[in-house]
Amino acid sequence: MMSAPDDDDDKPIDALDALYEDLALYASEHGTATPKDKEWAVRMRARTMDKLAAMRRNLVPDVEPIKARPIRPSLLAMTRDALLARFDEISHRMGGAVQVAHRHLKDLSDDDLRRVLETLETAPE
Amino acid sequence: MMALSNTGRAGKVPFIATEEWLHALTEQMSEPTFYDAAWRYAERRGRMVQHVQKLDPEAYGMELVQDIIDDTLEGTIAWDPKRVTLLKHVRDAIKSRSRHHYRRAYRRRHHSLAGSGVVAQVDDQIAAAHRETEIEQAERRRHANEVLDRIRNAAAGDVEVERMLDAHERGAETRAEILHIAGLTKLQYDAARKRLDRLIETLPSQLITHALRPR
Repeated sequence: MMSAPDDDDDKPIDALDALYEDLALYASEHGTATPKDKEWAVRMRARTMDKLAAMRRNLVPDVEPIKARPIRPSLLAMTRDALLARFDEISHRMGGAVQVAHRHLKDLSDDDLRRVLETLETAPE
Repeated sequence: MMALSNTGRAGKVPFIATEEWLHALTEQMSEPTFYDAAWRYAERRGRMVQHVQKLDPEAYGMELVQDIIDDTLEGTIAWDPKRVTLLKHVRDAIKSRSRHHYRRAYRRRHHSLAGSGVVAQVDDQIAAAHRETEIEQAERRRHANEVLDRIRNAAAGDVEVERMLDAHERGAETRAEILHIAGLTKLQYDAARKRLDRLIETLPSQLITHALRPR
């Protein structure tokens, strides 16, 4: 847009600015890159890509921790002996399909046993 | 989905880039000529600043492009990919900053205030600042005129370049305005601009010496 005709105060500065703007646009659109320019452009692109990668990582939503289902009141009411008996019964019924990553059930707490039973009893057949 | 653009400092809303925004930036930044084009633009704008401040236009251009890309990524300056291309956004920011750098070179520091009568001192300083601004404005105009005269002298005899310079001095800013006022064809204009570009490339050191001479 042309400057207002009565706006003479900054006229020489505006003229100089317009002149350099014209030359800058010309250079931007028609100039040729030297090997040095290309090298710089490669470095700048890589630098920006690194920053973009960091920004993308921040876009990934945080994974919600998996919450354990509440233990049924019927299991909560059972004693350790009753829990072990229930475990034996289920193991027997399911044959070799039941595998527990603990060599000795005695290492499991009562609550751990209840969780195991909860998992076994609610798992799809 | 969030807003496409970064709202930046002006919006006072923290900038959070969306996938779409990041994709647009990555795609446009990956165009082979993007950085070269941005840098060449900044380098030429740096030559204008060079008239008032000793600097290396190449280094100035590289630094300016890097700063503007960083500010865009941080949301300090807003870019809306639906509105303008990344290159136009970067060029607009370069233009604005280089113009500011050119003008800032004339600013002077004020003394700190101390002792009694601070209010009166503030009043005095405000009045002084107004006077100083007028002096600065006059100085800027004088200097810009000197630079234009030097360019005009260097271009003496090249009618088409002289007509281009006239057009700029008459307020032409866009290509269409220059063509219209200078009465040049597109081909004449392209050739004249190329000659003017080469001519200016040989001038800066003389112009700096001239502009910064003791008064």
